Amino acid sequence: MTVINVPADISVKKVKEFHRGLIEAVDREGDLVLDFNEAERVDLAVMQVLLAAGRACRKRKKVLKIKAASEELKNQMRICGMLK
Amino acid sequence: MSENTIRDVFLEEAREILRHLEADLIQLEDGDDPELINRIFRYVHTIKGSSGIAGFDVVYEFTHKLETLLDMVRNGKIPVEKKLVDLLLESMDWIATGIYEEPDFDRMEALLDRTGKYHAAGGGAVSASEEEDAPAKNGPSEDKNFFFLVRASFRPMVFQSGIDPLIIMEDLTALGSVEQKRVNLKRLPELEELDPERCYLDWTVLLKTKHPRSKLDDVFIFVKDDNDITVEDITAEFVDDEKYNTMLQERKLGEILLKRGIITEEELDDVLSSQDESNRKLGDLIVEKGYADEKSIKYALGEQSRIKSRIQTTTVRVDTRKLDSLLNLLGEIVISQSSISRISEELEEQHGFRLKNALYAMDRITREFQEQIMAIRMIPIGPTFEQFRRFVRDAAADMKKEIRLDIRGAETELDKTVIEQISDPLKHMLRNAIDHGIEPPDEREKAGKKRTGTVTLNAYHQEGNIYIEIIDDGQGIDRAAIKRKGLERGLIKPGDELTDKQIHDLLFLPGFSTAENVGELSGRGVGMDVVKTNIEALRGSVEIFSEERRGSTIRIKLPLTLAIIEGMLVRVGTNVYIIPLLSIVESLQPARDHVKTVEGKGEVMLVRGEYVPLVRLYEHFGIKSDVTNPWESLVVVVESGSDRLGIMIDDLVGQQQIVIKSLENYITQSRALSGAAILGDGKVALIIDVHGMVGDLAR
Repeated sequence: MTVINVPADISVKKVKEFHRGLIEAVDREGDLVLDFNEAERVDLAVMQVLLAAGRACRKRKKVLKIKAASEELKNQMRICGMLK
Repeated sequence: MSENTIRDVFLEEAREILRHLEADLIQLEDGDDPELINRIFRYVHTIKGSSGIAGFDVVYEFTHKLETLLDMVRNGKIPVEKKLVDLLLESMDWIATGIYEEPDFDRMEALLDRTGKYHAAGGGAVSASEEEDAPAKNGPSEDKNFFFLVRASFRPMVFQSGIDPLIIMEDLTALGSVEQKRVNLKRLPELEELDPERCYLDWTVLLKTKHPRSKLDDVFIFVKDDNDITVEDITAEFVDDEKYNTMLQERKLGEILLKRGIITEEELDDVLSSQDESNRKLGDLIVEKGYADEKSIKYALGEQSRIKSRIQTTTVRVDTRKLDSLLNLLGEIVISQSSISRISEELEEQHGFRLKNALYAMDRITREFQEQIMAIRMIPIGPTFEQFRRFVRDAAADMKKEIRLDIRGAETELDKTVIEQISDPLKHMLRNAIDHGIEPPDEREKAGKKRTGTVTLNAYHQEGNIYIEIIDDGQGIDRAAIKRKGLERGLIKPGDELTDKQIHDLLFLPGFSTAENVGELSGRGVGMDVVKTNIEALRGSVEIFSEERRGSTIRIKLPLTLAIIEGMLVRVGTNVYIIPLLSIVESLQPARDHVKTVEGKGEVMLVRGEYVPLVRLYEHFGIKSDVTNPWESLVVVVESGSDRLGIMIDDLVGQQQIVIKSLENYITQSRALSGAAILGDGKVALIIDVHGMVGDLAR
C-alpha cells in the first residue's frame, strides 16, 4: 500500500509534481491511499488528476482510498462525479 | 367561479385525491419508492393549495406541516417506517374529517405533536417546501422554485487565467439543489497522458433554485465570454399549468435524460442495445455504465411520472347524471326506432323494404352509440379494490393477524353504478375472510402454512358477465358447524342430505352466524343476507366455494351494465314481459307426461332428465292467458346461479335491446320484477327478475 500525503496548498501551481507522484504510485504494488489530513480542498486541476488516478487504479484492479476528506472536499468530489 | 363552486370542486377533487393517497400510503409500507413518495407529496401539496383557495384554513395549516414532513422523507432525512406510515394515514383521516365533517382540534394537536417530533428528528431544518408556495388564496407567490438547465464547458487553458471552474460549479450548486447532473469525463485522458494544466471536464446540471436567472448569470460573469456556458430556464416544464398540458406527450426515461443532456445519443443507443440483450431496466443500465448517477435517474423517473399525471389531467370530469340523461335520450331513440320498425311492417312491400333497410343502418349506428356511452360509464374496479388495502391492514392488525391483500384484474371495467353499489358487500365479505377465514399466525404455522395469510380480490370478464372473487387461504368453512346451527334454528331437519352448496347457502339466511364470539369485525349474524340481497338487486348472484384447511372463495357474478339488456319479449294474454336473455337457457314445449305436481314442491317439469319448478306466469301475476295447459304453451327455461326454473308463457315475441326504466316504488310487492321498458308501440313491458322469482318461490 502506498500512502501519499496531499499538501495543504495543493493546486494547479503544484499539480504537475502531484501528477508525477501519482503516476509512479499507481504502478507500485498494493492500494493507493491519499491522505487529505492537511488539504481541506482542491482545485479542478487537482481533481482531474484524482479522477484519472481513480480510473488508472480501477484498470489495475487496485483501490484508491481517500483518507480524512473534509466535507468541503467531499462536496467537490460530488460535483465532479467522484462521489455519489 | 363563485365561492360555492370552488368549494364544490374542491370537495369532489379532495375525495378522489384522498382515495389515491390512502392507497399510496399503504403501498409505502412495502418500500420507499422515490416515485411513490413524490406522488404522496404531490397529493398533499395539491390538497394544501386547494384547501387554501376553498377556505379550509385549518386543513391548509395542517397539510402545510404534513407537506414539510413529507419533503424531509423525500429528501431522505426521515426514513420510511411503519410508525411514519401510521402517522401519515392518521393525518389523512384527519384531513378527511377536517374537510367533510368538523375538524377535531384535539386530534389535530396530537398529530401535529407527532409530526413535530419527526421534524426534529429530520434535522428540524426548514424544508424547501416550507418556503414554497405561500397560500394560493393570497395570490401568486413571488418565492417560487425555478428550474435551470445549465451547460458549462470550459476552454482547455482556463486555469491559465487564474480561474478555477470547480469554484464556479460550487457557487452554482450552492444556489439550490442539483436535481440532475452529468459530468462529462470523456475528454479526460488516461493518467499518464494527462496534461494536468489543461481543463477537460464539462457539466450539465439541472438546478432547482429559488434564485432568479440573474443570480446564475452572476456566477458565470467572469467566464461566460470565452467559455461555452448556457443557462436555460425550463421552469415551465415543472409547473402544473393547464396551458402546458396540450404540449405534453408521454416521454420515455431515455428521452428525458437525453433532453436534459444527462446522457448522449450514443450512450442511449449503447444502453438500449444492452437492454435488448439483458432485458434489464434502462435506469439500472445507465447507472451501471456510469453515464448518470442514481439521483439523476430517480429524478428523471419522477419527471416522467409528473408528465404522465399531467397528461391524465387532460381528461374531462362529467357529472354521471349527464351521462344517465344521455343514455335515457338514446333509449327514447331506440323506442322510436322500434315504432318506425312497426310502421314499416304495415307499409306495402316496396316502401316497407326501403324503410327497413334504412332502419337496419340506423340500428347499427344506435348500437355503436349505445356502446360508446356505456363505455364512458365503465370504470376500472382497481380503485375500489385499492381502497380496501387500508381496511385489510387495520383489520388484520386489530385481530393480531398477518394478512396480505392481493389484487388481481384491477383493470376490469364495470358500470359505475355497479361499482358504487358493490363496495359495501365487498367490504363485508373481506371482513368475514379476515375474521373467520384467515387463522392467527401461530395457528397457520402449526398447520404448515405461511404465517402471513393472503386475501385475494380478483375481477374478470367472462361470457358477458363480470366475476368478482374474494379468495382467502384460511381455514375454510366449517360445514359441520353450519349444519349444527341450521338444526338448532330449525332451518334443516335431522337426516337431511345436504350438498355443500346447500350448506353454504344457509349462511345467506337472515341472522345466521356460526361465530362463537361476536367479534369486533363480524359474527353478529347480520350481513351475508344483506350482501346477497344487495348483489341480487344488481341482477347478480353470489356463490361460496370452500375447502377445509385450504380456504374459501366467494364468487359474485354481475351483469356488465345495469342500464341496457338484451331481452326476450314474451307474451301472456295481451301482456308482454321481458326476460333477460342472459338468464335464458332454452325454450320448449313440454310433453304432457313431463309435467307433474310434487307434494311440497308444487308443479315441476322434466327438462333433460331433471325436474325444474314450473311457474305459470299468468297465475304468478294474476292475469289472463290464452292457454292454461303447459303442454299447449311454451316454457322458457331460465337459470339463476345453479337454480333452474321453467316460466310458462303463451308465445315468444322476439329479441331486442331493452333500456331499463326503474319502477321506483310503484311496484314493491313482487321481487320477480326488476323494471320496465317502453316498447316500440308505446306499451310498457315489465322485466322479469329471474333471481327474484327464484327467491319468491323459495319463500
